[in-house]
Amino acid sequence: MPNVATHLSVAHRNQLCLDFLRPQISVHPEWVVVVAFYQALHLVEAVFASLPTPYHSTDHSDRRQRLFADNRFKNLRDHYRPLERASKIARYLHDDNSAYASFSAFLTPADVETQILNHRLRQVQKAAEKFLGHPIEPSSSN
Amino acid sequence: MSETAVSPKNIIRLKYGDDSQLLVEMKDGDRFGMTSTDAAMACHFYEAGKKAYGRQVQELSERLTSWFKNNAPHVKEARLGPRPDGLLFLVVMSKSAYNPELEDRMTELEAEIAQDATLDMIRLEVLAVPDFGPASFQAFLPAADE
Repeated sequence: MPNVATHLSVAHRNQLCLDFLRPQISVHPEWVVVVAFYQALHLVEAVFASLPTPYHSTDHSDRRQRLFADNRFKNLRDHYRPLERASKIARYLHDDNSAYASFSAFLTPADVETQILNHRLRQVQKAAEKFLGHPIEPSSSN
Repeated sequence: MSETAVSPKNIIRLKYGDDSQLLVEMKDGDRFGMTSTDAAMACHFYEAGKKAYGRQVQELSERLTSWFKNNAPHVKEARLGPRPDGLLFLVVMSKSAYNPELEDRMTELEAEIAQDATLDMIRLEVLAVPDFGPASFQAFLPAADE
């Protein structure tokens, strides 16, 4: 079972990927959202792994149930779930012409910047930091 | 759910307390034996569970209808459908643009359902998608009768 350090390391790699993609956010907004979601996922798992009885989610549904079962996780879930939903739309919503055109009509690159990266992901990071008791290594673009 | 008429000739009688042994063959080829008493008990619990789940889905359906009405300005259409890991309440938004307020309301709804002890058999995910016609439903509830 991966431990806290492992999850934080993967989250950091996701952040490096976000730093790489961010200059191209207008070209690849959907992939920025997907990577942001996976960073949030590993932060949530790092929190679960840090509990006195460490917990490891078996799948997305199991993780959601765990987040909703305990109100200590309210701040985490309130911002994790919008990230998970946006990521799902990024991956699965297709119209007949272009999935990318559909996604940009839903979340513009500017919204991805403000709503997803600067708000939801940042709030997940803050909530995780509170649980872990230390700052999570900041990225170059934060 | 409709009930199918069964000819008396086709009825298999499974009697509690009978000492006979059954051989059960599953769809994947797995085979195992059990007593008719154990099988009768398993059927009893299955029936009870199915009824209880049906009652919870009915209650959930009423709650979701109420939520949909309360959020009418933001939502245009919705469906409740099965997913491998539970149920999906798929909402089509009135507008295509991302709606942070609706996102928060969906998370509140998920928390309310997940924490309700009277809905303990329900695993619900709520998702709002932009309105791109039939594709909006088909992408997430492919079994829906479009």
